[in-house]
Amino acid sequence: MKPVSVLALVLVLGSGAVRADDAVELRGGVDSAFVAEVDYAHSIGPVVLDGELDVPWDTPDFGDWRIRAGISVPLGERWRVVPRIAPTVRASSNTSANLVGIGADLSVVAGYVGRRWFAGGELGFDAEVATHVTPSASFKMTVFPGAAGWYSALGGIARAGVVTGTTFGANQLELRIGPTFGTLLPAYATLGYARRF
Amino acid sequence: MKRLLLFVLLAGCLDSAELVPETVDEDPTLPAIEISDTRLHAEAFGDPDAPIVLILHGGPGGDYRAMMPLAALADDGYRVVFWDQRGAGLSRRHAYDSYTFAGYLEDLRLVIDHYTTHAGQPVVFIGHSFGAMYSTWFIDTYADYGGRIRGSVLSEPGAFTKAQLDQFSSRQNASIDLFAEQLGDIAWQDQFLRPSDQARADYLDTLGSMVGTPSEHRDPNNLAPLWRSGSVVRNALFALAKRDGFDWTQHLSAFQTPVVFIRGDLNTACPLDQQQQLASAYPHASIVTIQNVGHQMQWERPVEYLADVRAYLATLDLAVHP
Repeated sequence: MKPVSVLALVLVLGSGAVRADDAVELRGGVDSAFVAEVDYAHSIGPVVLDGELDVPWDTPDFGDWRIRAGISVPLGERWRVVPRIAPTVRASSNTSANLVGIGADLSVVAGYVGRRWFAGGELGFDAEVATHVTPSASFKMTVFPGAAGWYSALGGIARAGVVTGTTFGANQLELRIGPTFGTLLPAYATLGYARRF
Repeated sequence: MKRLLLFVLLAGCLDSAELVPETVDEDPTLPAIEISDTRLHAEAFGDPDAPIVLILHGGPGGDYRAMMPLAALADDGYRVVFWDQRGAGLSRRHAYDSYTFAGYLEDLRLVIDHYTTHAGQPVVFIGHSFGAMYSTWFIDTYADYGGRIRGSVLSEPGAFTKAQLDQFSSRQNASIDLFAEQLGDIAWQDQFLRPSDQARADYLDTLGSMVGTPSEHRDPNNLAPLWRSGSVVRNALFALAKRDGFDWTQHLSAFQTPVVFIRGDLNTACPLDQQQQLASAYPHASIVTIQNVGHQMQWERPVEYLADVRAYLATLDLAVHP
């Protein structure tokens, strides 16, 4: 059996295990909204690939979602650094407009991984590149017809926080928390459960 | 190479200005007036020599589009003046640092003067929300403006002092359900566009203004229309209020003209006791409540609103005094 520590830290980035493990993680908390997230990770050699689906759970309506496809390269064992880039597509559907955005999340997690616990720090920047705007019928009538199309959206939401958690068997619990910069919600905080298989 | 890739990627993108309607600076066909250093979206209906009914929209940063049912007052023999305040609606945008309380108040005085055709021409304010705060600010500063301010309709002003504004904001915030779809939508869509220029900031602001806060109890099937929410002016005036504070009740006791407050009973941020407290700053104020309507009463229930306004106007002395 592989040491459980290989799971620790990396899944906070949705990265999966270092040594050929597959893993799945469920997360919930505040991350641009009250969100539920599921992440599946698979490693190929030194590279970990993962796919992540996030949905706000206030009123699930299938119009609001975020998908990331992550690539990360975990470095080190006990002291671990995990850089990750995750191209992102996200959508929002509400009273005013339907939005589809493309961008990428860039992050680095670094910290110490013990046998039963881990702790570290996270720096991230969720960059948006362009957004397609389709004004809703209500918006057109109440405000302005507007032009449907792509708008550059250069900018993003930065975050800086801590990551900590515990491992037991093939399982892991983790907490991410910290402030955000450049957005309405001033912080992010998620609690996750992951299992390696 | 990276720059080239980015350029190719973004080359097909639309300009931010496509997100919001053109202002009087971009569209010369819009009705406009020039005062001081600005250009305001404005239009007037009725006999230019008749008593002026000056419409003051809410916000700050809103516009007069949802006040347009009041144009019917022109048929009653009034000169009805609509205007989008500085930086709001379709009026010219200004830089954040250019806003001052003194300049903002002076705009109102200059608009009155702009539409004045003869000495002593009577003026009646109809202010909605922030517009009713604005008219109170003017009266507190200029009293009856040389006998010209003959009346004022105040529809759910939020506050006349900084302390009252804090209480009002608390009531508004208390109405927001952290887990409700509206707040979730606003937070979620915050990922998609950045307020990197004024047009974008206005667009993002407008998305929130369109539905208002839950305390307002807007009718979702008859949303009050707007042109553009002026993000910069709104933020600038709130910042000035926070920094400098304000008390627009210091001289109201000198204003002996009767005023009327018109409110909707569903607005939980402006309950009756709060409007009574504000009304008590005026020597002669009455309160009219329209049942089963919220903050956008003038749009959602124009017939009743107009009836209450007309009933009040009928009580006023609008003759020109020598």
